[in-house]
Amino acid sequence: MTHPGLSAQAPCEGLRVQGMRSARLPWRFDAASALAEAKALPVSLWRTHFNEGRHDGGWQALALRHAPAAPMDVVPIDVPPSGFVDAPALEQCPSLRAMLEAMALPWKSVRLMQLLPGCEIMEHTDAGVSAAQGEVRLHVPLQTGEHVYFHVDGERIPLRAGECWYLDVSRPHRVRNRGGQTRIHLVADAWVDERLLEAFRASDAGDPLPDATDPWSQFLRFRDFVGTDEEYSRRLSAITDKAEFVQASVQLGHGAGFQFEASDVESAMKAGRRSWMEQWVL
Amino acid sequence: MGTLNFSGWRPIRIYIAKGRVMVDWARLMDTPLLEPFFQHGVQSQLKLPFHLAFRRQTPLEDLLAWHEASAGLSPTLVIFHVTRCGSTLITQALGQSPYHLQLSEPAPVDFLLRHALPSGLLDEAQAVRALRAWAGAWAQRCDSASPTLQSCSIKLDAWNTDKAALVAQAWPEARWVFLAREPLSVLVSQMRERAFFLVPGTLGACLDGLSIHELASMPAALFCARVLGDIYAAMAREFVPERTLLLDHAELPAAIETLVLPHMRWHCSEQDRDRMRERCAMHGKHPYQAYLPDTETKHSMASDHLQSLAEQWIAPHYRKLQNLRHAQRAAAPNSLEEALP
Repeated sequence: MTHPGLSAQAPCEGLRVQGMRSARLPWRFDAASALAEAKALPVSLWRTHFNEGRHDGGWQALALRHAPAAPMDVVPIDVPPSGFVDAPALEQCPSLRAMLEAMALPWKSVRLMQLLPGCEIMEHTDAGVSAAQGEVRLHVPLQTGEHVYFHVDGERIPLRAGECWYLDVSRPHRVRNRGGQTRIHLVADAWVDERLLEAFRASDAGDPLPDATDPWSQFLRFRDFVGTDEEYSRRLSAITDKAEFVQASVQLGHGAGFQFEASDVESAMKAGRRSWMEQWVL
Repeated sequence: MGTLNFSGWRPIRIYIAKGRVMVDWARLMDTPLLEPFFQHGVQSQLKLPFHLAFRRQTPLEDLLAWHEASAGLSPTLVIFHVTRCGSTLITQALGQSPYHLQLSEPAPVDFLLRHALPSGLLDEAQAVRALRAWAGAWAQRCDSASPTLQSCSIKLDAWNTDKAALVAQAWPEARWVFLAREPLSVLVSQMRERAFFLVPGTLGACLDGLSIHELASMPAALFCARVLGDIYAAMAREFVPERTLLLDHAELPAAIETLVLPHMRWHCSEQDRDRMRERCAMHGKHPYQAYLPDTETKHSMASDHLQSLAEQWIAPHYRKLQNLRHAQRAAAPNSLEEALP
């Protein structure tokens, strides 16, 4: 796959999409055949994700297009699209290749990414990978489910197989796979061009997923409950130690019938600090 | 009232999310904000994990409804100032009394005065209601064991002096202080350590008739002199003798007790006055440093160029303020006390 002349293009008009944290782009794909191709690739090509501090071991990546200059084939380094070449694995995946060609964007790193059942990608940010800054990371879910929880900035993104999503991963995001099967996504980075802006104009917010089991949503309900309950507020606000506070919140939450986890409380604390600090960011 | 109970919760931030005006509340109870600025007072409270994780974020309507249910005090005093002129010392002195609430340059008030109307999400009447509701939500106690609130002061950001008409609508009974200082000291201070609003673009197109591009290419000292000149001019223009005490930096700190307290009609205790005097011996923004007069030092630092900029862009407005102030002092010193309801 080649994109003649693309290296000469500059990222353009990023500001048009500033503030957009997710968008379902108008492209739809046959996830079944792409999934079959992904599953047929040799297991030896999968790498444990290099951001090891931010997951529990179940996050893996496989390079379909990569930069030879990168230290490892799944590392998306910051070079122009001309610095990337197709990986051998892409030769074995005609459906995945057809997806990329259908979107016809100036691709940079393209990977398959999987998250094993029961595993979690902790909250993190990928600096600079944002449409507002001229670079996007697109996700096409190949295998997922209602018990996979993908949150950007505290908002659950309703990703379904065969859809194509833009997610602003420069904002805090996290993924939990609480389902019984591996979650597999095509994850493709590209420069923002006119064609992508056109896709943004035709994008929507997707179809909401049920959120009754979503741990973050359970935490938010607990937070509303605490806000109006004097006793819970008094008990939790008396705690000054962070770890003790997280543990007490989870315990009191469970006791009151809200099923969330320590990482939800930690995310809430970070979001609380961030929303206060960001008001002075110009 | 249902679940609408914000007793002990304070609105720390007003913001826009998904096309709605929202309020961020923290359960700060009656803890006073003693720091020289609202922002730092709130921030020091956010060290507690509860305040990070368990804030409440509600539509503005909830703040308005809470105001209906629990009004709180209206501000007794609003302070307008030209920056670097002693305004923080006034709020810090008043804040020494446990019976007084001082709110110093609160960002939510700036949001309502400056951002809310251009956003198109609120009209003027709604902004006025929101200002009242915001102050009222702070100026109340949730614990009967806390000292009763007798008065409340709000110090605005200097650049909001031109929003005086909106402030008058929000709190028609509040007294105002307009505090100025001879221009060269203010200009020198800003050139030495510039406030964010004196960086071109941060307040938008803040000088009439000039584009952002023209502002950005303007020499820094000229830009500062012109923006400061506009603040002084707004003060001279918005002066309403019935409600406004014109003060000058040179009259501080003595005027806090002799002029400001009577102007705000607050009969505070001797004990509180002692505490205020003690605070006034220290620096306004740095409470642990003794205050040393620095006007002479500032003047000695001023280049001829800076002096001519101060003279051209600020001094004419300052002279007008001086004349108004002398006229006000010459009139019966207590005449202000009876003018407003």
